Amino acid sequence: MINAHIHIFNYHFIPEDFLKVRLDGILGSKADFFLRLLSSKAGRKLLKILGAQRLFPKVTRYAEFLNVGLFETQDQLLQHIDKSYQGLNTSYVLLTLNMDYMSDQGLKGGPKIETQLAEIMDIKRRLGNKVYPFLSIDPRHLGGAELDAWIKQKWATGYFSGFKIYPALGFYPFDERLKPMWEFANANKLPVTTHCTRFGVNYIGSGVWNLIGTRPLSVNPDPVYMQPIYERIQRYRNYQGPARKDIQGNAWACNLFSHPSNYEPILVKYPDIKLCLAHFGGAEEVLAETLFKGKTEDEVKMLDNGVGNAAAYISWFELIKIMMAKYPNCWTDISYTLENTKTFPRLSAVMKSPIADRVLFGTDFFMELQDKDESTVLRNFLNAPDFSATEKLQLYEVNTHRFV
Amino acid sequence: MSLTIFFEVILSLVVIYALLSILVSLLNEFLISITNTRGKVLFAELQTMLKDHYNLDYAYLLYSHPLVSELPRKNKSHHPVWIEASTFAPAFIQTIGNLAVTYQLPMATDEKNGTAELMTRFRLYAEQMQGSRLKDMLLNFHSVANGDYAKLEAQLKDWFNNQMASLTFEYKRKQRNKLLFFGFVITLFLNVDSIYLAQRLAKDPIMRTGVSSKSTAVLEHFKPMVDSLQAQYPKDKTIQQNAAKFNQDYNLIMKQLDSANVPLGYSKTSVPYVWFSKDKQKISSDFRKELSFMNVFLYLAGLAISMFSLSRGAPFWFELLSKFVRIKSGGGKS
Ligand SMILES: [Zn+2]
Repeated sequence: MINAHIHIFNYHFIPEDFLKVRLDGILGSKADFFLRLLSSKAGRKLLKILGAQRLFPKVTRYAEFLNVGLFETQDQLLQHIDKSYQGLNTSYVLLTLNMDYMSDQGLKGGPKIETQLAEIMDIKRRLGNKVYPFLSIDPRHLGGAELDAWIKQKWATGYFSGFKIYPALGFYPFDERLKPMWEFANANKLPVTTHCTRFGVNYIGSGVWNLIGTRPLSVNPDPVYMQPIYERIQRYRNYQGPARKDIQGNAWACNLFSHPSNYEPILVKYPDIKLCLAHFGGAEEVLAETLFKGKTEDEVKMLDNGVGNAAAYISWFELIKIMMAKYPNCWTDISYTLENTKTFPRLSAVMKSPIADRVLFGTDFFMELQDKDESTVLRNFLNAPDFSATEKLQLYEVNTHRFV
Repeated sequence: MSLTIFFEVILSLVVIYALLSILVSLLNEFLISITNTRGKVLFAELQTMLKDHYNLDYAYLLYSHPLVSELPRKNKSHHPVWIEASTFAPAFIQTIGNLAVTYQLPMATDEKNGTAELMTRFRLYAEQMQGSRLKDMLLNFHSVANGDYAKLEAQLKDWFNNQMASLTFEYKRKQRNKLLFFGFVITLFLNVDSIYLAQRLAKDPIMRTGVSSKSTAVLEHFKPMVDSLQAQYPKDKTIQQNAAKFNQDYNLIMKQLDSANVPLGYSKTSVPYVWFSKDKQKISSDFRKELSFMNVFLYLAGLAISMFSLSRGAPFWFELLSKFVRIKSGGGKS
């Protein structure tokens, strides 16, 4: 079995100013909020005390999430998840994450990504095929020729199996500076895992609209794919609805980075990559219960698709399905979506469709601990009558092996 | 006042401070155990030594080395409270050396044996680091060792010990503020007016002998607890359990003080309430009954003296108490 989506970074690699909570951050998502708490000494202390005392049962869930995030080494996080997979002979895709640029002060105290990677590389050296580390790329860290050299140097060690990008931290996946990554992945037929949900953890610095720009340069400038994206950026910029302040906030703005259609220019240009639009849009989109977060449904549709096109609006889940049908290099995973068992019937329907061979099993450890523990998520999935034994095998064995 | 009375007053005050300062020290230890202050301070100090902005956070990587990560600690999310120099040196050499393996730095085959191999890896990794002060230090350590592994370890131990000496000093300085705060808390909570206590002890022979005669018993009874202050709050217990333990210790100490009739706490007949009492005529003691500038000043001064005295912590007062007890028993013999 391969779990194609887990994180084992700990609080050392989260920026220190992550707590400087702005209101939109709190409204953003639970993950965001609790990661912020995790990054502050006082927050850690408070939640740990609450959790350790088991005074509030509901807090215990978060305390477990925090407790794991507070483990002193990434190795300990890996050992922790592996306990839930006893007897299943499981390997893990380790998605590293560069969070040095997610806030204004992320680089305070020096960059943290190389230390995170050094430990991951050491784990890979020791554990071999137990783990498949994916290298986290951020164009603000390195771009162009420097990125190219860095990637080649990292690949020479043989420790990395793919790339991880998290655009909501403040960049577009088609960002021109990422060209070396896409070309390297295409030439070597490598997997790239991204993050494809509305909201979630996002950029929390002050200059989000500078990062968004107006007509960002693309690895594939073909207007057929870029024009709709530029128009969406313009709609977000011009938005004048009653909740204007909210749209200016980072949580909404960062959806511009995450939007599935940002990947079309890439999928067209790089046919040999394996691009995983992780989370299948998120449980809410799968259930067509889009999170409107202070906006009306019409406003959201207008923002995504433009005035007069509201009828053409479809959820990100549907959009990803269409893209997968259209582009054979487009994959997805069901991590964190799996945590909500209500999504099972819809996911099961996907497994009976032609795109079933590009859907991956993953759990999004340790993020999912905010809602359910790893064993419960795994058990719910393995025992679910919605999926046949063959479908389950396809998700966690056949597809995942073809992916990594 | 005769010399004997003076001695007994002082001895009595030392006994009282010793008992109350246990409470201050316990509160401080309680806080330290909840917050794992020791472990955090140690890690922060190691980061100032080993976190290299131009390279990696070697303090973090050191802590993920089994020699350190397997050290006893409260749970996985706590830093160990202490690392010995004899643990630090090999763990650090291996942490650096392992990076040469992780980064697959090429190595001549004739260098691949024993500690020489480890030293070569150490040098190989240090050589390819980005220029930094730490890089220079590591290469210098390696050069001075001149192929002798024990010398490399010895230099690292010295370096570590020197850093830790300044850390201990810094740590104690920081603790002083916390102790002052808890001294303040206990002083206010128990209304400990040192000037009043001294005056009462001087005037009241029963109270004086009552307290001073306890000196030996207090020393014998509480010294072991003071000696093991750091271990008072078991790391595997919850805060409630530890709080219950504190409450138990508190009652034990208060019983000692009550049985000697030490006037602590608040009552209608004591300062400051007595100043505002309507029928203070009926109160037999004429002790600072009137609300006057002088009395308020003496009261506040008495509190301040108590606060600073208690903030010295239990080990200080028990050290002093044992000296007094020795003088007393010596005097008895002559
Ligand atoms: Zn994830």
